[in-house]
Amino acid sequence: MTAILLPVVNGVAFAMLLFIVASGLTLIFGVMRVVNFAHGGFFALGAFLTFTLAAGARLPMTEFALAAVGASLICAALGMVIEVVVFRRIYHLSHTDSLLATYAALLILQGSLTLIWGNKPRSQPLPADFGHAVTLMGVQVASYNVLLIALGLLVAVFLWAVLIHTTMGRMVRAVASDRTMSAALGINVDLVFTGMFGLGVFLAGMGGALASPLFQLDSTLASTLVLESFAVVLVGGVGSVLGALIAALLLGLLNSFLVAFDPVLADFSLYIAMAAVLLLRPTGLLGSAAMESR
Amino acid sequence: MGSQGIHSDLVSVPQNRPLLVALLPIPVAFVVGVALVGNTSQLYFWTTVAETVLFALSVNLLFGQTGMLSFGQAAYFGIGAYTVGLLASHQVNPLAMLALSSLTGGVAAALIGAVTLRTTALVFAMLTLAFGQALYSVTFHLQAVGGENGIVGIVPAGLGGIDLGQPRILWVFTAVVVSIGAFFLWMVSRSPFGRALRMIRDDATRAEMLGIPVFRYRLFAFVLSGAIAGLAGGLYAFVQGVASPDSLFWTTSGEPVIISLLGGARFFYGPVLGSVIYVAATDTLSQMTPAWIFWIGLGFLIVVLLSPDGILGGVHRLWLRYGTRALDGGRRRAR
Repeated sequence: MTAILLPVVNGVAFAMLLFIVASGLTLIFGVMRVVNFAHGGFFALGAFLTFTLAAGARLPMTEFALAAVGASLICAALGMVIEVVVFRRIYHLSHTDSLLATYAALLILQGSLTLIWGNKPRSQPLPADFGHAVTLMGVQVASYNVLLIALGLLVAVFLWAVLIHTTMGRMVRAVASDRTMSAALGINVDLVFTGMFGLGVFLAGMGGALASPLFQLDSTLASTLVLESFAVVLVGGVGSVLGALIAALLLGLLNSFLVAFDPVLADFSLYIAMAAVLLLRPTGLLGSAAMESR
Repeated sequence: MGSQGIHSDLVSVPQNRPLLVALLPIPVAFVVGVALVGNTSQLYFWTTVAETVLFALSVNLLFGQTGMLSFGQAAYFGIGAYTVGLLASHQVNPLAMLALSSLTGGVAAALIGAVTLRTTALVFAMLTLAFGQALYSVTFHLQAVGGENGIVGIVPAGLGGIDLGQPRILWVFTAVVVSIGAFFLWMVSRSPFGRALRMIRDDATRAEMLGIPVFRYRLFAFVLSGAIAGLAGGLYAFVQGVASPDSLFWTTSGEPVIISLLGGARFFYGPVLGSVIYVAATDTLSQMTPAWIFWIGLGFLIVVLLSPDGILGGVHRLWLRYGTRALDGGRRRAR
C-alpha cells in the first residue's frame, strides 16, 4: 500500500503544478491560437518575484500566499502589456511564423532575470507551516504536496466555473470558436484577448510562485516545465482545460511511478507514452479536429 | 525573376547560370582569405558559422520549403556527432566518418519519419520533439557513450597526411564539406522535387489532387534533412571536439528554426544569413554582458515586428517596392 500511495500523492502533486502552468498555456493557445514560448519565461518570473517579495525568508503561510499572489499579479500585468505591444501584431501570422516572436519574448524575459537578479542562483524556503510531513492513511507525505493538490483542484474548479457558467466565459468561448463572428455580434475581441492573455500568464506566474520553494532559482528555470506543459496541452487537446487536467494527471502519475521503480527509463518512457497518445489521437484526448491544421 | 513571380517561387533563384559562375570567385576568395589571414578565434568563429549554416539549411528544407516544423532535428544532428565520436578513436578516414554520420542520421530519420509523418502541423512538431527527447534521454543515461558527459577529446584522424586538427586546415575542410552539402540542397530546392515540396507547403490537398505523392515526398524530404543534419553533426564533433547529450536536446532543435526565421525561412539563403547573424550576435554579446540573452531577444523582436518573414523577406519587399520601380523607370506598379 505504502509503495503505491506515496508515488500517487507525489505524482498528483507534480501533476497539479503542471496543470496550473499548462492550463494557462492551453487557454492562450485555444483562444488566441498562438504557440506561446514565452510562457516558461513568465513561470520563471513568478518564481523570482515570489523570492523577492518574500525576501527569501521562511514566512508564515499567509505572508507567503500574499507574496505568491503579488508575484502572479505582477506577471499578469506585464503579460497584458506585452500582449498589447507585441502579441497583438502577430495573431494574423501562422503558428510557425509567430514562433520567432514568442521565442524572442522568452529570451527577453529570461535575460531580464539575469539583468535583475544576476547570475547567482537563489532559493526560496517552504512556508513555515509546510516544511513537515503529514500522515495520510499510514503514509508520510510532504504537506506542501497536499497544498499543491488542493490548489490545483481549486484552479480547475475556478476555470470550469468561469468558462462554463459566466457571461464572460461564454464570450471567451465565442471568441475562441469564431473571432470574426464574435466581433460582429458586438464582443470586444481585443479586450477578451488581453484579458485571457492576462489570465493565462497569471496561471504561469502562480505555477512559478508555487514552484519557487521546490526548484533552484536561476535563469534556466525559464525552460523548466515548458516542454512538459506543451506535452500536457497537446495530449489533453488544445484549448481544453479538462483535457489538460487529465493529461497532467496521466503524465504526472506515469512520471512518478517510473521514477520510483526505474529512474533510468523514466524520461524515455514518458516521451514514448506521449508519442503513443498523439499517434493514436492526433487531436489529443479531448481536442476537436478544428485545431489540428493551420 | 521579376515582381510578377508567384509566391511559391520566392525560393527559386535567377535562371542565370553565367552570372552565378561569375559570382563563384567571391565565396572561394572568402574561404581562402579567412584561411590566410584569420587568427585562431576568427577561424573558430567562421568554422562554427559554416557548420551552423549546414544544420540550418537542412532544417529549412523541411521548415521553410516543405512547411513541416520539426522540433526533433537535433536527434539526427546528435546521432551524426556521436557517430564521429565513436569512430574517431579508431583512426577512421574523416570522409568515411562523415559519410557514416550522414547515413546514420538518414536512417534514424527514415525510421522516425515513417511514424511521425502520419500527422501534420503542431502534432508533428510535438511528435518529432518526443522522439528526439527519447533519444536524448538514451544518450544521457547510456554509459557506453559517455553518459551525461558524452564523448570528449575528439580529434579527427589525418586525411592522407593532412592534419585536420590544425584550425586553418579544419576551416578549409569544413568550408568545402558545407559548400558541397549546401550545393546539394540548392540543387534539390531547384529540382522538380523541390518545387513539389513548396507546392505541398502552400497547399498539401491541392498537391495530392494533382498527383504528387505527398506522404512519400514529405518522407523523402525528412530523410534528406536528417542525413544532412547528421553530416552537420559529424562536422560539429570535429570542430568542437565533443559529442554530448546536449547536441540532441530540444533546444538544439529550436536553434536552426529560429535561425531560418531570422534570415527568412522562405528563402534558400535565409538560413545562411541567419546563421552568420546568430553566431556573431551570440558570440559578441555573450562576451560583453551576462544578460546577453535579453539583447538577442530584443533584436529578434525588432526583426519580427518590422518584417515577419525574416530579414530577406524585408529586403525582398523593399526590392519589390523600390528596386523594380527604379529598374523599370516606374512603369510597372509595385505589388
